[in-house]
Amino acid sequence: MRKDLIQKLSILKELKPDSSWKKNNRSLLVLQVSASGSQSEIPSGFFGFFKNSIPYAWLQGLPHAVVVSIMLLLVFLGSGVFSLQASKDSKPGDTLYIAKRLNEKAQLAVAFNDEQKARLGLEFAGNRVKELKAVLSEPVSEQNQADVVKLVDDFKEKIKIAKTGMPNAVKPADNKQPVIANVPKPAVKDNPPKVAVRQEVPAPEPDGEMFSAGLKKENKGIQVSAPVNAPSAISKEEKKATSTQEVKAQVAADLSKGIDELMAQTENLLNTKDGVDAQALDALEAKVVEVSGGAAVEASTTDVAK
Amino acid sequence: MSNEAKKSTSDRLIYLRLKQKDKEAFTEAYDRYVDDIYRFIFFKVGQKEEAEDLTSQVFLKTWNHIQNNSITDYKTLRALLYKVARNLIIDHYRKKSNQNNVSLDAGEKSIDVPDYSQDTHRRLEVESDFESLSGSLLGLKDEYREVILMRYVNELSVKEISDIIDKSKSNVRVILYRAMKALRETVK
Repeated sequence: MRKDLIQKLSILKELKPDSSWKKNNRSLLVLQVSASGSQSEIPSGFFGFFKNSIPYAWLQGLPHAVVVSIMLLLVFLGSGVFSLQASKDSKPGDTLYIAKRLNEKAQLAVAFNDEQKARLGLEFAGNRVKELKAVLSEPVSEQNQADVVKLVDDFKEKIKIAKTGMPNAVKPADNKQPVIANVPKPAVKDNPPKVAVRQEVPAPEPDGEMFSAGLKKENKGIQVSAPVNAPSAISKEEKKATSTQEVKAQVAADLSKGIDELMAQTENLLNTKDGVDAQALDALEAKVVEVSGGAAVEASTTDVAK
Repeated sequence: MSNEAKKSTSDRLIYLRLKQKDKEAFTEAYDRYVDDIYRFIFFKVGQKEEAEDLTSQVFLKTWNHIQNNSITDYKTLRALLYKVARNLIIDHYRKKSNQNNVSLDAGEKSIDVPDYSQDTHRRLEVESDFESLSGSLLGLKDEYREVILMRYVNELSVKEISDIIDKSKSNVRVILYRAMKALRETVK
């Protein structure tokens, strides 16, 4: 009998204030509380409290901004890893999809150099292809079609990022000396190394080898030629450095070509009258994987060169 | 660590941050306790608008008390909020009684049954139970009503109730026993 009554009383828990009143009241109260007195010298907020709880005087002495940055970095790294993992397979419409896209933006924003940006661009382009496949496997609807258009647009955007990153990855340094010029000049004065940056591709040197990271759409290229018949004054290290640079340039050229092909395939994807072709999408995905593999090789040659 | 212990620890942290005038802590305390405090006040005053007004005052006054250290005889943040709520209700009725000669243990008070449920069948069922229970509660004396609300609706522990109403735990248990007995008599 007593238990029944207690159970009945629990119904009264259902009485709650209006959610709109609750929300407006919260804002009003915070304003009133802010106006009620000036801030104390102790920094407010969770980080201020945390900072004052730390027993070590040296850490407490750190500027507030530094402590906040450390805390944010820890939270970002922790939450970034977990949320990214959980959202990896999400697609438009899923709860975690926004987290996935935000993570991509954050990664692009903190990319160290253009090379990394290019790799990330390819990776995220690959994500768009996967999402496209997932969306296309669902029943056709207006939302579905809108998602397809957005995904294709973003795919192109990411490929552009990859493409933009690529030429810069092999661009000569600002002092007008190309990377290749780190190689000591050969003793021979007659055939000095020639480097042209963003100019018309000249005719190949008769006695030299030329490697070009030519881009199909533009007649501009970075070319490096080094005379192969240089005297033996060139040391082993110089030869090794030269060949590494040559490999790097070749890989970069292949990668750039791959990206161009990807862009061309994307255009075809859009131009089909019957909508996005599933087979074309599969081919696109395979191409992205292939080109991404090239990007990884490019990265490793960069590391070797360093 | 039990849920009670966890809640008590985080309560303590919120309290410490409130002492440092941390507005985020204020928002957390508000979000954590506004429903319970509102419910407690509502069943004491019976009117939605009055309950809302008094609830706001509870949080503001609690903030001020913490900054000024003007109340010290409480063990937890939750206990402080309830103490402040009780005092405000007493003041509220004092003002009202000065105006209208209405007694604290009003038998004629009506309670607005709030429209808080979306599902019609459930709403009707709950409304019916709600009306009968709230009517019965109103018929009880204030001391009985508030211990029943705190213990069986807002789920405070006997220890917390004893902190709030300044009575020993055994005394609280006796009051609870008598209150439930009285409620059962009116519900029959």
